[in-house]
Amino acid sequence: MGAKSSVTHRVRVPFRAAVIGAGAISEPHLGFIRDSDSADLVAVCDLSPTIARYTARRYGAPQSFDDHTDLLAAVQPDVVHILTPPQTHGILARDALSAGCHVIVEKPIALTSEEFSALHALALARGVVLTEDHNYRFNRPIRKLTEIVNQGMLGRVHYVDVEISAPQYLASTRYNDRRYPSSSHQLPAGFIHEFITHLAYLTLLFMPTIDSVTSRWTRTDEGCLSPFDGLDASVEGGDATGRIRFISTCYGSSIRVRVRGTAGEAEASVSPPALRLNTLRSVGSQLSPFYCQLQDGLIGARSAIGGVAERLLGKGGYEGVGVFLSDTYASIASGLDAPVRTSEIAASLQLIDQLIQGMQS
Amino acid sequence: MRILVTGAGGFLGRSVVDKALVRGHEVVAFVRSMHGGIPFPWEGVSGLDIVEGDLRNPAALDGILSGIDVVVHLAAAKTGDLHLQMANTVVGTENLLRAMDRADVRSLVLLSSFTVYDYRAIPKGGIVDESSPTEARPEQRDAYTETKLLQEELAIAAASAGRCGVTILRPGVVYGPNEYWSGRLGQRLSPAVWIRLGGRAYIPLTYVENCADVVILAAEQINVGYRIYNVLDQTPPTQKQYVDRLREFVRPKPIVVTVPWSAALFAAQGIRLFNRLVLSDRLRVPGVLRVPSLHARGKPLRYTGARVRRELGWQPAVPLDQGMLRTFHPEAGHVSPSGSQP
Repeated sequence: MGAKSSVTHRVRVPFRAAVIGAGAISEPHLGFIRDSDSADLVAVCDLSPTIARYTARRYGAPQSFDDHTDLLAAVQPDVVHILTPPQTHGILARDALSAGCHVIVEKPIALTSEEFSALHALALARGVVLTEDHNYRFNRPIRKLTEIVNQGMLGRVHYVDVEISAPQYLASTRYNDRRYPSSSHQLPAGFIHEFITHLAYLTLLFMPTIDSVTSRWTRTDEGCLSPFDGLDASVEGGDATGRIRFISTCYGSSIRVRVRGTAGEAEASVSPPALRLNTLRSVGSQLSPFYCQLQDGLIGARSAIGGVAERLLGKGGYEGVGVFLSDTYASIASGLDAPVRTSEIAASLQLIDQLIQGMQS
Repeated sequence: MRILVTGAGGFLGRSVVDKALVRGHEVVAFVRSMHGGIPFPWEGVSGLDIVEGDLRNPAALDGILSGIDVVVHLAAAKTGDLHLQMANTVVGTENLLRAMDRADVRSLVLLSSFTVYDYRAIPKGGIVDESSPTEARPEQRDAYTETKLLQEELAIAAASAGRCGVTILRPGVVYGPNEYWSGRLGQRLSPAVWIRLGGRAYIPLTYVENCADVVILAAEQINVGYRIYNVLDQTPPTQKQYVDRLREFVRPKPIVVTVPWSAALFAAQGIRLFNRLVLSDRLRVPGVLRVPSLHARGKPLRYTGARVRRELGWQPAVPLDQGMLRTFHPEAGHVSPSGSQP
C-alpha cells in the first residue's frame, strides 16, 4: 500500500462479497470472509448448483447461483472473488468489472498480458479495484525475506533462485487423472500454468528488472498429459541473475526462494515455513559461520514444529491468502493502492509471456 | 429389464452385475476404467455391455441411457478431500440425473449409506431405522457424510419433482472378499495390531452378495416418488463378536487392543473443549478423536432393516458364518490382513 490510487471507492464496510467457484482454493477465501469484519458473504456461485447451495449454507451466504450473470444481476455485490479454472478468469472478471464490482482473481488473472490490459482498462473506466492473488508473497517466510533484502542485510542482490517442486506423477493427483483430464492441460503452459504465476511474482519480488529470459521446457514423464512437466529458466536483469525452476517428477513438495547478495545469503521455504540467513554477524568473521550453522539448526527444529502445527491448525501454504485479502479489503476501503499493484501484475504476466515464448523456440 | 449400473467395477458393483445377469436382465456396466485393478470376469457374457467413462464428464453418458429401464447408481468416492468427493459423488450424480431426464429414464436405485444418520441425536441404545434423523452438521463429520447426504438430497429432489421414482438403499457395513474392516470397529494401526473401539456396539453388517440381491430387488420394483431402506443382514454381531470371528481367519493373528468407547468419547470431549477455549477451534483433530465421528463409529445402538424385508421381500441368503467363509476363501488357506479399509 502507499500512494492514493486513481480509483474511486465506495466506503461501505463490511463489503458485500460474492464468490464465484467453490473448489479447493475457495476455502481460504471463504474462511477469510467468514472471519473478517470487512466482508459479508452475500452469494456463492458454482457450475454445480448443489455445490453452490451447500457452500452457501456452510458459510452462511443467503443466496447461491449456478450462473455468474444471474448472481451479478440479482445480488450486485461490492467485491467478487473469482476462483474458477484459469481459462474462465477473463470473461468472469470482465462481467464483474462491467457490473461495477471490485474484483479479486486467483492466479493467473489472465492468460496473456493483452487480456490483462483490457481488463485493467475496464477496471479504470469503472473506477474499481482489479487485483490478482499473489498469496505466497504474504506468507511469513517470504515477507521476512523481503524485509531482509529491503533492509540491505544481503547487500546488493546478485542471484535469485525460485523453485517449486510439486510432484504430480508420483501419486494420484488431479493433474494425472486420465479418466477426466484437468482443463489445466489446455493452458498455454499446460498444468505448469497453474504454478507459473508464483514463479514469476516471487522472482520479480527480488529482481524487479528483467532484461532477458532463456527458458527450457522439459518432458521427463512420457505419461504426462501436458506437453511439458518441467521448466528451467534463467533470467538476467541489471547485475543480477536468476533461475526459475518447476519440477513435477521428483519426490518432495516445496516452494523455495534463495537470494544471494554481496553481504549474505538467505533462503525462504513456504511450507514448512522456514527462513535461513547466512550473513556476517556481530560475533565477527571467524565465528559467523558457526553462529549461522547453530542458528540453522534452531531454525530447522522450529520449522519442523511449525510444519506440524501448520498441519494441525489447517493453515497449510495458504496462510498468505488471508493476509493478501485483508490488505486488499483495507485498500478498497481506504482507496490506497492494493497490496498487489497493477504494475506488479503486468510485470508478472510479461515475465510469463517471455517464459512461454521460450517454449516455441 | 435393461439396467445401467454405475460403479459396476467396484466391490459391490461386480456383485450387482452378476446378480442382474443371473436374474436375466440386460446390463450396461458403467466402469471408470477397463484397465488396472481386478480384471472383470464378464468377457463374452451375453446381455452385458461394458462402458468406460467418468460421471464427472457429462459427455460420458451420451447415448448410453437409451432404452434403459432403471439406473442403479453405485458410483461414489469414498476417499479423498471434500472437493474430490464433491466432484465424483455430487457432480457425478447431477450429471447422471440430467442424462436420465434427457433419455426419459424414470427409475433410479441409489446406493447411500448408514453414514447419513445423525448419531449424536440418537440416544445410546436407541434404534436406528429409516425415520432416524439425518446428520444436521455433516461438515463436523467427514467429506463422505457430506457428499452422501447431498447425493440423497439430489435424488429426493428429482423424485419430488416427478422426474423419476427413487429407491434409496442405506447399507450398513458391506463385507466380502478383501473388504471386511470398518471404522465402526476402531482403527487398524498395522496388519498385526488392531485398536477396537469398544466391544458392545452392534455392527450392521451385510454380506456383499446379500446387498447385491436387495439392489436388484429394488431395481425390479419400479416405484413412484421415493422410498428409503436400511440394508443389513439379520442378527448383527457386536464389535467383539465380529472381531473375534475375524481373528479366526486373519493370519498372522492380530493383537487386539480395546479402548472403551466412553473413554475415547471423554478424551474427545476434552480435546474439543481445549480446542474451543484455547485454540479458537483452529485445531484440525483427526476423525477418530472427534466427538461427532465417535458417535457415528462406536456408539452402542441397535439397527433394524425390517422395512426392506417387509416391503421388498428381501431375505439375506448368506448368513454370517457362510459370509465369513466366503470372505476369507478358506479353500485357498489364510489371507493377509491387508483388506482395504472402507
